[in-house]
Amino acid sequence: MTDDNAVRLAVGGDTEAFSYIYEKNVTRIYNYIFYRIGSEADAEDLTARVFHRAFGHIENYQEKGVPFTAWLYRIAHNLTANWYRDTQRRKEISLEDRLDLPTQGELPERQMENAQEKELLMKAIRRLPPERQQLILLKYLEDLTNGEIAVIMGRTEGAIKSLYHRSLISLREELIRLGGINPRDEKE
Amino acid sequence: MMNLFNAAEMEGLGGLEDFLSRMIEPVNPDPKFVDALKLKLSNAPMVIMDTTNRHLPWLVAATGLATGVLLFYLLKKKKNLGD
Repeated sequence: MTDDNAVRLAVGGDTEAFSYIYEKNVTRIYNYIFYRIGSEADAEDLTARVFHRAFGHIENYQEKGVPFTAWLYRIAHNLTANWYRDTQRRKEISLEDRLDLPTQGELPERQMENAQEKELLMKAIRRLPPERQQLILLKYLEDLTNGEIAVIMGRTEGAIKSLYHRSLISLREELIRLGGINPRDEKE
Repeated sequence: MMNLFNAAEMEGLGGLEDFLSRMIEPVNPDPKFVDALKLKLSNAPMVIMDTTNRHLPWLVAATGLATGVLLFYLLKKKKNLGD
């Protein structure tokens, strides 16, 4: 079964085709949400909601040149925004347990440093406006091009290029604010 | 102040990009969660909306409006005849 074929069948009510789409996309949607909110339990809850919503509204999906993945990302983005709005919280849960993926043979000290860096970076990313978080995560989690991100975010490629540049600058500022980079050292 | 990141590495945005590439790695969701959700989705009834009736609300509103106008006209006519 090809991806396009699966989408066409799923739109027509084929649950097996939807299962195929689910298997192909569940990890990427989970990752996107997990990096946005930083909690495994909430990421699972929101991932489930994304697929339930997609399942319930799949008949509304119209191809129109936008890939199905883009449609899923939009649902995930909206539900994540709702989650932040409804709960009014920005939990900053330690990502050490989930994100600590040490290279074999690394010294424990280096592993700890990596985990700290990762945790601080994720805090900095989650302080960015949602659109910038989305852009950075699509770029680095999915390794997407500006053109592909533009399709998902409903913007032009030029707008994404510009937003990406501004996002990097903001992220760097957040890292400085959080103490990850000492601006005095930077100037030396 | 903590200084976890190499300041020289962060000096240019290129350094930050390299850093992001190294740090942002995909994680795997719990396979139990993935399987359980798949099961739930495959057991859920698929809701297919009946799109043939999507103009029904407009039709009802238009019929109501037309009936109202007709009633108004008939009542007015009856009143004129009475006068």
